[in-house]
Amino acid sequence: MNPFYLLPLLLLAGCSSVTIDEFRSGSTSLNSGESIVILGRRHANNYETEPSLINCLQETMANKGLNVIPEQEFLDEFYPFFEPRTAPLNLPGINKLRSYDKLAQRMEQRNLRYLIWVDGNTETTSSVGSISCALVPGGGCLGFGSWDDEAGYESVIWDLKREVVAGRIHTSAKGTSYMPAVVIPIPLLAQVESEACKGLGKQLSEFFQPQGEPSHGVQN
Amino acid sequence: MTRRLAILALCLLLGSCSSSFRVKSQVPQPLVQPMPLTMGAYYPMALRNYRYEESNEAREDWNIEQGDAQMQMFSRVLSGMFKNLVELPAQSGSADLILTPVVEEFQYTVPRETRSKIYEVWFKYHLQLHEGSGRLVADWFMTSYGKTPTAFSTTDADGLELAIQMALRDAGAKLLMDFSRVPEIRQWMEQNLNKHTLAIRGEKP
Repeated sequence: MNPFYLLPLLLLAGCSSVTIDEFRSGSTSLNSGESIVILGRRHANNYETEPSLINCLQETMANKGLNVIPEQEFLDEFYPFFEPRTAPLNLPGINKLRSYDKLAQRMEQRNLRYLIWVDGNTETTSSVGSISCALVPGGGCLGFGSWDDEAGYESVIWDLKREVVAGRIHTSAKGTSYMPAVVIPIPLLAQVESEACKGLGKQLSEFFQPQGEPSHGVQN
Repeated sequence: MTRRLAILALCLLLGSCSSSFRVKSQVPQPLVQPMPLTMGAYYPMALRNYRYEESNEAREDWNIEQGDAQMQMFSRVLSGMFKNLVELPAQSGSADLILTPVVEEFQYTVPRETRSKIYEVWFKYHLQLHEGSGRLVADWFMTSYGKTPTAFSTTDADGLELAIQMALRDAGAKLLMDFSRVPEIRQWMEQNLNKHTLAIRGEKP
């Protein structure tokens, strides 16, 4: 069999689903000139909120016309206050940090209105199957494997002007990837992290648009 | 002969049996109000030439040069913390205070050792603070930690370098945030700096 016939299969992907729950404590909007920053929580030692997810969220929101400060730029500009072990874990913590004159001035200069913390990760939870390959001329691979990936992200939005938690968004995503191998292995990957990013990014973008009624329990 | 070939094959599979690299510090300029003091930095040869050489035969043969990165981190942080920074050749000289940092311990883990998807690094520093006259003000230890996920790195060397850079950043942050919380330093500051200076740094006396 010509392996090139299998190439279109590469365009297929494993299946994934995303669930989003939103809590909003009041009206939220971003005035002209005000900015947002999205930061990943990295204080736990057994996982790390992926910078790739934060970059993806930042791009999604920036594409919607929101003024988002890139994470690394913010961390460098506000060093050492938002490092994994020094970042405030709650709103009273950031209010306490404002007693540092230079930090308060920089926040003012940047017109920082919302700080969004994203905490969680994507991990492989189970895998089954096996593939064996023969590294000899005329050999190849034969078998089948599949694995499940799960993502869970909790986002907390701090309104720095009103000094309140403006809302929380919980995002969970699941997906199963498959790898059939007949001569060559063909990965059919579930893009769990990017699906979580799409769902959360859309929800966050809508969060800062003026709207009437708060939404709860949105399913994507 | 067979054994040599086996070792060669294993080295090729692992990428290399001996890995050397020099760490670059990427600690940014701190956003703090400098104290109106002249700080001296005395970097002993143990810090200047600090390198980690792996002695455990079960691990990869690492040779990691860190002296320059350590000095750059301390200089960057101290120059932000104090109005003036001078580098001195001894633990006494023309400065209000003189900091002497030494790396006491370095530890690391790579993903295949912990079955996690992160590279981790720990530093333990021994810090001494003297007055210009040479009188010891404080003597304490400080730890720092850095980690990086495997997704960032193509090799163990890349992963470890990123984790070391994160640990250097953490060390700088710890020094900036905790320096005046060391009881002996706090006492010295209360005796030698006025309340206004402490207040504008966000430190209520």
